[in-house]
Amino acid sequence: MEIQSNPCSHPLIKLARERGVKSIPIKDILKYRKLIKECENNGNPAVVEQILMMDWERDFKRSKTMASWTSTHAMFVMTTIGYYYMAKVLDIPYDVTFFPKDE
Amino acid sequence: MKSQIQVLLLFFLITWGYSQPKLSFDLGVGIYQPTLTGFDEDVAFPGKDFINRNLLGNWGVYYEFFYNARIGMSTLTSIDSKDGIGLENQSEVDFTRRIIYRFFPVQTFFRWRPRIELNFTLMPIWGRSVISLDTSPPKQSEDWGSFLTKFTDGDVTLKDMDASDAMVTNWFGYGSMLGFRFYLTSRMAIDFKSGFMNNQYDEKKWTLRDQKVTGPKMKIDGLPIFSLKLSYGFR
Repeated sequence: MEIQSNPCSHPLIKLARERGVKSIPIKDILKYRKLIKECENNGNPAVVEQILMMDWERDFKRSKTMASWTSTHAMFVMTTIGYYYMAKVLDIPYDVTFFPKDE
Repeated sequence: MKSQIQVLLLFFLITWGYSQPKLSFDLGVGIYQPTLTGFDEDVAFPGKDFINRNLLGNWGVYYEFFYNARIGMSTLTSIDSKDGIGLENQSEVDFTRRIIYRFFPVQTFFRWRPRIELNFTLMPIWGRSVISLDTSPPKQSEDWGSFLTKFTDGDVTLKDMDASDAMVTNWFGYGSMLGFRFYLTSRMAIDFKSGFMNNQYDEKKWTLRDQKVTGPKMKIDGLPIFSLKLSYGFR
C-alpha cells in the first residue's frame, strides 16, 4: 500500500514558513526547491506564495529600522562621503592631517 | 597557541554543518580612475585603456553579526600584462602588474522597502601592488636593473635574481561607500555602491628580494570608486 506524503507538509517547508527561506540549511536547498515544485504541482500554489510573501515581510520588518549604534555609523558614512564630494566639487583639500609636517 | 588555533578551526568546521551562518558572497566589478604616471610616461608599457586602468574585478564575503550590520572582506583587483616589453639593455621581458585593494568593511544597512536596501560602508584598506617580470637567464639582474631605471634616475644594483621575480609594495588607506541594493529573491540581490577611497601609497617603498627599490608613480589617493555586484546570501 503506497502512502502518499503531502510535500507541502514536509518539515523543510514548515521551517521555511516559520523562520524564512534563508533558514533552510545549505545542504538542503536543492531538496527544498524540489519540494516547493512538488507542492505547487499538487495544487497548492497558495502555500508557496504565502511562504515567499512572509519571507519578504519578515526580512523587511527585521531590518526596516536601524538599531543601536548602526544609525550613528550610517550618519558618519554620509558625512564623510558628503565632505569628500563637496571638496571635489569646490576643489578644496579634504585630507585630514593630524600631525602636519614642518615646512 | 597552535592547539588553540586548531580547536577554533575545528569549531568553525563543525558548526558550519549544523548552524545557519549569516553569510553572503558577492561577485562584481568596480570602476575608478587612477593616474598611473609611472606607466604612462614609458611607451614600452601597455597603452592605457578602460580594462587595464579603470576596471576592477571584485569579490567579497560578508557576515551579518548584528540586526543591521555586516562585516566582511572584499577585494578589488586591477590587472595589466604585456609580453615582450623592450628594455634599454635590448632585452625583452614579459611584464605583469597587479593592484589589489583589500577592503575590510563594516557595513550598516536598513530596508527602505521590502526589496530595497540602503547600506553604508566604512572600510580600512590594505593595498598591495605586485609587478612581476619573466626574464631570460643569465641576464635576470641586468634586465631588472634596466627595468627599474624606468622609475628612477641612476643605476640600481641588485643581487642575484630568478627568471621569475616580483617587486611588491603594501600600503594602507581608508574608504567610505554608500550603497543601494535591490533584492531579486530573498537570497539574491544586485548591489550598487558609490564612494571614495584614499590610499597612502609611496613609490619609494617597493621591495625586490628584500631590497628597497623605487617603483612607478601612481596617484591612487582620493579616488571616487563605483561598484556593481551580485550578492548571494547563504543566510
